[in-house]
This record gives sequence, C-alpha cells and structure tokens, in this order.
Amino acid sequence: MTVRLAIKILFVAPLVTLAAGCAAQHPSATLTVLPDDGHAQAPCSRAGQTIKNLFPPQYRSTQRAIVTAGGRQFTCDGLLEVSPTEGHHLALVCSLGVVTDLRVKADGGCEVLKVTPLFREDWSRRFVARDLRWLFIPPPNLQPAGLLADNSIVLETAADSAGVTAAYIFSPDGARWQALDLIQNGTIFYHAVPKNFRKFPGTSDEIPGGFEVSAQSYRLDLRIAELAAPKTEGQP
Amino acid sequence: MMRGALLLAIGLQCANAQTNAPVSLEQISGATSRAQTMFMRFVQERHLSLFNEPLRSEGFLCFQKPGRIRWETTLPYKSILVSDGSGVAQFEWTDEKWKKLDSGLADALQNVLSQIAGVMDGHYARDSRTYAATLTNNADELVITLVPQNQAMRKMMAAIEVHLAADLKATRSVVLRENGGDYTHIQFSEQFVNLELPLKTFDRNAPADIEIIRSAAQSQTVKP
Repeated sequence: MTVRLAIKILFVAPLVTLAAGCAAQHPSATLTVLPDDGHAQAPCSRAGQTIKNLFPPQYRSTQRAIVTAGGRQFTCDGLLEVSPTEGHHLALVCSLGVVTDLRVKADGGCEVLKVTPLFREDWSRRFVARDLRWLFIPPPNLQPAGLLADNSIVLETAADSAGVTAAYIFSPDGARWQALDLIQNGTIFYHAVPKNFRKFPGTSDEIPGGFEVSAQSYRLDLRIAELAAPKTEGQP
Repeated sequence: MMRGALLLAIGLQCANAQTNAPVSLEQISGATSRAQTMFMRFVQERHLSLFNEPLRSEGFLCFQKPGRIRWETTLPYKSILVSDGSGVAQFEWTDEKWKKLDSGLADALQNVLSQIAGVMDGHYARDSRTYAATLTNNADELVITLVPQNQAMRKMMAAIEVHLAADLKATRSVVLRENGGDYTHIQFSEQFVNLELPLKTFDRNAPADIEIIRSAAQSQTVKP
C-alpha cells in the first residue's frame, strides 16, 4: 500500500461515512420544554450569563478528538486560538498533516483558511465549523424557552434559515451548562454534553474539559488537553 | 502524532542518492541495522503558518526487530499506537483509564508502522522510486534531505530533513517541510539502543506502562 493510498483511507473513508451515513440513526429524541410560570426568571438570567462568560474572551487551546463514524474510531488534534478581534481560529491536524484550518469570525461568518488534499472544504463547513460554532461560541440571541421536567433551564436561539434551533440546557440554578441540542422539525439531530469541568491556567471559573457529541452520522469525544488564557485585571 | 516517525521511515526509503559527503546512505543504513531495539524520547512541534505558536507534543518511541513499534504521546494528552509486528492497536487515555480504540485505520496504521520498522531495520536503501536524497555533512551532524519523487506527495510534503549524529549512533531530529510554510520539528533525546525491553512493551491488548519501559531503559544504560 502506498502512502497516498493510506492517506485516502485515513481521511476520505471516514468522511464518506460521515457524509453518506446521515440516515436518521440517532439522536432522534424530542425535547419537551415546559413553560416557565415566572419563577425561573433569575435562573434564566444567570444561565444567560453562564454561557456568555463560559470561555475567556481570549485563549489558546490544544484539543484531542476521537471521532466515531461507521463503527470505527479516528483521532486528531485541534489547535484553537480565540481573540475578540480575530474570532475562533481552529486547525485540525492528523498523523499526516493539517486536515483543515478555519476561522469563525466575530460576526459569525465562517472562513476556511486552508483546504488540504485530506479534507473537502464543504466538510469543514458542515461538520467542523458546526462543532466549533455551537460548542465554543455562545450565540448572541439566546432567549428563555422554559424548563425541563427536572427544572433544568432551557435557553433557545431563534430558528436559522434552515429551521435549526439550538437549545442550551442548564442546571436549575442556571450556574452550570449541562447540554446542547440542535433541533430541526421538532427532532434533535445533534446532542452535546460538556464534561470534566475544571479550571485552566488563566481562567477564574471552571469550564468544560471536553464534550461528548452525538450527531446523526458520528460521535465525537473531544478533550481539551490544554487551555491558556492571558490573565485579566483582578485575577490573582 | 506519529507523522514524524512515519516520514523518517518513508523518507529513508530512498536510493539514487547524490552523496556529497564521505559517508554514504548505505553506510548509514548499515549502522542503523545494527540496532536490535531502540527507546527514545521525542518532542514534536508542528509549526502552522497561520498560528503564532506551534502545536507541541511529547512522548516516547520504542522499537524492536522485526517490526515491533510503539509511538506513545504523553503530553499534552496520552495516546499509544503500537504494533507487535502482526497487527496494530491504538489506545487513548480517557476518563482516567486506557481505552482501546476500534481503529478505522488499522490497515493504514499497520502499513505506516511497518515502514518505520523497515527504517529501523536499516533497509532504506532499497526503494529507488520514492525519494531523491541528498546527504550533506554539517559541522557535527549529517543531514539527509529527501524530496518526494511523486508529484502528488510533493503537494503535501516539500522535503524531509533527517539530522543524524556524525557518528551515526543517534537520530537527533527530523524536520518535515510542507508546502506553504508549515513544518514539523521532532527532536529526539534519551536514546537507548540494544536494550532489553519489558515483555509487554508491544502488547496490543495491555501494553506495559511507559514508565516501566523508561525505567528499564535507564537501568540498563545502553546508550548509543
């Protein structure tokens, strides 16, 4: 087998699986949100602040990802640089080099900075930018949607042009982000759970040490291996 | 992760060398072939042109003839890629325990590791099709520069530099130069050769802890 063939196996096969395997496998549940009777105003407000201030405005992070697609697992590294002016700049690197390099700008637009032979540009936009946008960038237009049966707080975005809404779920006091659901036509097609909350250098509060994502065609186990933020005024 | 060792491996599969130095590729191959086992530490830095700082990782590389390879990353995350010569396994440290992956890349990874093993065996002067090689002498080291012959490969990798100690007893570093300015620098240290590696160093189900292997290497003090 040649190296070139190995490259094809390495990158194209799993992504073909991703692209072609979008049958409705899982998740496919619906989210039952109960109306707030007015008692959850304060927790809702706190939840809004929780997600808004979750990650520092500026930091650098090294990530490790295990992607499961078609029953098989693949690994890659992520390098994420974030700044208020430059937005979220992410490179994915695998054993044979850079897979993709993209930026989600401060205005929300996505720019694929580097297209490599290993990864198609539309895959970067469809899969990588989606994970980056929803997991690491708080949406600006979150509104209270109600409560779950266990009194968890739900904040929701307005539907985008594709009819997709994002439901961010928080603990009943609004202090801890618990999950994210992307919903289309009433069905959850993307479910993420932040995990291993902890402090990193330069962060004053605990932030997710990783995420577990279950989408229609793949699962993602993402770990934040390193995160460093410049200290702000007032931090010890 | 293992890209450096991979390209060290495939890079040295070359002939048609234009040798400017008194040492030939065949001599280098011969010197390398005398190593039955190896253990070394690596620090890898991927310099991405659009980023201010490199993506850094470090870990250990183990090798035993014929074809047993272990590439273990220890920082900033833990990961093991191991081949016992007949198959490959990949492990990730998650939730405070090792998890064996159902790798979708088993065949490709086995191929990659086999090529590394081929280099460790010193069989890299046999393939005349893959790379054009230039061997130069610097003050205290030899540098093999490899340029892919295949045009498709050259789109991904402009050149590979393998830096060897002048006495051919150690690989000091490998630099992988990509088109567009990106490059990966892998520095090797703590190199031991012909040491007795612990029994489960290359076990595909429960590989020995790297610290046990490292202690074994240090206790034998068989440096090149």
